[in-house]
Amino acid sequence: MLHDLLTALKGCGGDMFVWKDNYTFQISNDLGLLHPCEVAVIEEAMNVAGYYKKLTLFCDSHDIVRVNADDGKQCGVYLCSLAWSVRRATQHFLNNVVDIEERLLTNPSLPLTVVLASLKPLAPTLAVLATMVQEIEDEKVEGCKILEVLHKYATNTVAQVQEVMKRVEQEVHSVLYDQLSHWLLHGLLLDPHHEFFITKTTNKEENEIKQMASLSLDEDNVSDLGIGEEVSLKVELVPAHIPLSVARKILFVGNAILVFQQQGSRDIGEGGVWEGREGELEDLLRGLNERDSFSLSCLTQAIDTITNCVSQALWEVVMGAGLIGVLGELKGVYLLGRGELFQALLPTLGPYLTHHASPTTSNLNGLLQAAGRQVLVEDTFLEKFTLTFTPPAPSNTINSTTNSAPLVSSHSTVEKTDSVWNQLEVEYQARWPLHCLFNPDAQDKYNAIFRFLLRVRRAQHRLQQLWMTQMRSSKHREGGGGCLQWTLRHHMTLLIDNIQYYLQVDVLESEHWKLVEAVVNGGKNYKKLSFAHSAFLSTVAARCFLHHPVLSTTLSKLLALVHKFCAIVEADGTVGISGKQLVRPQQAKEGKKQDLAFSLSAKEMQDVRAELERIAAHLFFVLSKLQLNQGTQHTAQLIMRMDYNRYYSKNDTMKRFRALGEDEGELR
Amino acid sequence: MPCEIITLQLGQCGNQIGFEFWKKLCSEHGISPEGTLEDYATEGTDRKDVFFYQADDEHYIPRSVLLDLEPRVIHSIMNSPYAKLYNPENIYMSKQGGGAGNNWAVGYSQGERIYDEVFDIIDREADGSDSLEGFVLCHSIAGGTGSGLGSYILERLNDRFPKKLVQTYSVFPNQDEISDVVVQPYNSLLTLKRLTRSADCVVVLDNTALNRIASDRLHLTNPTFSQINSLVSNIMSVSTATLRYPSYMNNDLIGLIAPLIPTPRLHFLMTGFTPLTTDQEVASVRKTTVLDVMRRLLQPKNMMVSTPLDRNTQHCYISILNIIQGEVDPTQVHKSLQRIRERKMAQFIPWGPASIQVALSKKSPYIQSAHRVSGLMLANHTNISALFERTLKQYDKLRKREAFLEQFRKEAMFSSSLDELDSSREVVQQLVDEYVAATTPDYLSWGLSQGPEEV
Repeated sequence: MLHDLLTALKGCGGDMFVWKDNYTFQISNDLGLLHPCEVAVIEEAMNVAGYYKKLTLFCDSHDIVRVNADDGKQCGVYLCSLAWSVRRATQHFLNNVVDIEERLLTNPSLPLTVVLASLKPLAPTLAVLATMVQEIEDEKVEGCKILEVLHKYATNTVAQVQEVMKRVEQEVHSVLYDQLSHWLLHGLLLDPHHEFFITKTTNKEENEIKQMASLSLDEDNVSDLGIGEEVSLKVELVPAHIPLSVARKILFVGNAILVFQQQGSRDIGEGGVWEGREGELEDLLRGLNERDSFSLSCLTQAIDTITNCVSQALWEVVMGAGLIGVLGELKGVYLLGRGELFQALLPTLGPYLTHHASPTTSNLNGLLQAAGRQVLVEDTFLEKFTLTFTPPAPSNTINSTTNSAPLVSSHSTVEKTDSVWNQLEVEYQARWPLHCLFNPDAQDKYNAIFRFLLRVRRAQHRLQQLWMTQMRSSKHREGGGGCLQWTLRHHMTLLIDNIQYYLQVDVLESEHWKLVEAVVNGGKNYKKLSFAHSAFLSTVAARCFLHHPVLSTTLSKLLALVHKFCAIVEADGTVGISGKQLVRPQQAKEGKKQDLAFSLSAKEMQDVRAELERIAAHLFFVLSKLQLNQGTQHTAQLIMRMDYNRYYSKNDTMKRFRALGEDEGELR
Repeated sequence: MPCEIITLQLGQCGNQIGFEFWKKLCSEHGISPEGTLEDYATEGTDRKDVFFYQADDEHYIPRSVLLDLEPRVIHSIMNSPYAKLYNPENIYMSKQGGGAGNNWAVGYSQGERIYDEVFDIIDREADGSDSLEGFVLCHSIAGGTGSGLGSYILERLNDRFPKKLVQTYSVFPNQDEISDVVVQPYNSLLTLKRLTRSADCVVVLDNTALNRIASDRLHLTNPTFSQINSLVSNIMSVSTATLRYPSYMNNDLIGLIAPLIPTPRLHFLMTGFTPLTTDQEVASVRKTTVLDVMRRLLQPKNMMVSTPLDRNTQHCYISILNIIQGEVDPTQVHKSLQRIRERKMAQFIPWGPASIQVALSKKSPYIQSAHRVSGLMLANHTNISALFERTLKQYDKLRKREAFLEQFRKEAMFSSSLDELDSSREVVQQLVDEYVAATTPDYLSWGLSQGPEEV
């Protein structure tokens, strides 16, 4: 009987102790060989045996040798390591069984209680392990997530059990450390079973494009080939006990290594990425591995050390690649810093976009390059930029909202061109290693700002051209209905100019100044640098009111009104001048003709005036409201520029508006 | 649109300030007196092509036309180290060489005579530029050539190039000393009419203020022409700095002046400059802040126009543009604007929005300056009408006595009648009225009632 018991303890059921599918041994006492009190003792022993059996089954099925990926079973390094570790943990139990057997051989009348006494202490450990294994199997926990389960059990247990659990935890973590050291120090992803929380996602399409590009372009771009493969964080695989920030850092470091490797053999001369610290960092990771138990703080610390090291190296490389200069270049194009370029571009781009509903990139870019040549911009500077056009998405929500204003809807051409203008984009060909800073995401943000600035700039340009027309026509025919046109134009010019100056000085120059400051004096840290850069982009976008729906709509309305006004006056002006030239001898007739034109346009002018006052007051009102509520400095800056001689704050329309607004506020 | 600008220098004064202007531009762009690029001029961010064109890879030639009815000043230019800078074809001296005798009427009628030759030069120069933006005319309004020939050319430029801007730098006579040109009030009045009618923008340089600045601020007991002219050339070069060192805005002339000029006739601009130093003066290096510069620019003593205090009208700024050069922390601009507004340092028009625009501009990398920050103000101020009133008063005095009119009657224009003088007086009077009206809140309705009357 004892022999049967021993084999059952080792996991092999017999006639007497039957292994059931529900992971327990059933005692068949049909023959009544066992005394009821013996049954109770054996049942307890069998419980333990059940755990062991289950663990053994788990270990057997997940041992590396038996891994078979085909049949949809769980597999992988982590699981295997867990199996191996669990087997080690159960070794103690097996030893005890062997011990009992030996004692049984020398003492055939060994009491059953001895067996129980020797096995019982191990029961809790085995029970916890078994539950855990059960959970892992039931929920099909895979890869890094196993660490999470392990950590949960390791922290939720006590005393002796915890000791075992911690050991198991640490042993399985060593797989992670191994992957980490490959990834962190060499940028290698040794992860055949996709268990690591960092994975390579290959963007096939992009890759093809890149390859095409690299075929046609010179060897400078060859290094871009690897970019098609993107390494990203799989958030769902990050174990809960490892903070996401640490995981992000891990991703960052590896990525940085990859960035270095892309440069390849070209100039990694100066001691590589680590500048000789590789060994030290490797030791750091090994130290983690050799600890008795897993410690999150140690891991975090180690990752931080490595991150700082990489960050600094990357900072140096990025600065070495002329980051400050590139920031200046980007400011020049995306933020319209090279004003003369756009000065030259707008007059050619305007007509082109009006006549071509779907412009082609090559033509657009041709215009850009031609403009560059006109104002003698260095060739090498503009080569990096491409002006492109993204065809509208099937349902273009942005445009429909901005153009939904009743004012514009009557001018369908204006609307059409406006939407075309809103789809212009500039692409920047970032050199290694700056491409990681000026990635497509950042470029999108740059483009959003670019489009806004270009719109304001265009309105300003048009008003200036109008000034010229007005100046000339005033010489041909003095005064008249022109006065209102003059005031309106001047009012608009000031409004647009104030916005422009605000954008230029208070937003772009100031923020760029801060950014450069942060980059240079930010303590040689790439992470901080990259943070400062994204902060720069979001601040600028916010200060251009791109994210404020009410304000951006109001601004769009204002710009649309400017174009409408210009169109009216330009049409009027040409009638006047050409009319005069045609009927020069008949002064009287001409006068009448013009009077007619005046009365026609006068009505329109009054409308425009009312609309302008309304929009300006609304703009001012919203800005003041915004400033009252949030007290942000930049709105105060714009308000001060707009209202420098307190024209708006004293204006009647403004007062009415404010009263209206307050009423609304009270009603709410 | 590279926005080229052709400079026309007329008469003695015009050629002298033009000469200083080109000297200044050459040194700012690193161009030697012979027109070649200096070895150290390696930074390519400036736009030399606005004012120069390239004859070949090395030679830069000013887009400049030198006109005079007497050869003295131009000869002195041709004997200076800068002789080879100019295109000799662009220099026109009257063949008689007699000059205009400080008589507007002579200058004007000479203009009719030499029209073809002068406009051959201007046309050729205009054809030589990709997309000409406009003309800058340097002259004085008191003499004969600058005023008379200048007036004639202004009118013709409008006919010939209706789409081009015409900006003038006009030197107004010194009121503090008795002029040797007795008919100066007639000359000034007749020129003012053309400046009102035909120029798009007039930068007024008042010799009274220039002399006062030279003696009071620069402590020069007997300021020479070239010292005064270097002040002027400073103004001219800084006011074109945003064209030559482009940044976000004001990269063309129109963008620079259009926002300053709300209505067609109110296009007379005052300028102010700080810090004022001379070459001789060893300027102590001072820490100048944006606020300092902007505050000083609003002080009348730094203005290049001298206007008496008028207690009857509340004169005010119609518009202001400050061009700040040097190393500026852009965040300071807002604070300075705020401070100026709080302390009410500038009065603005009551009939519309107005503000101080601040353009940040680069400085020439080739010129060392003791001052970290310098600034130029271009302002449209109603007070400038005082200058025109002064001219009117002097004119009335002479006219009442019918003094010196025989000189004018010699010319065809005035032989039959003096209507031209009367009509000029009317135009200038209207200009004064308009500036005064601009100080009142109902300027807009004034404009509506006044406008159609004119012919």
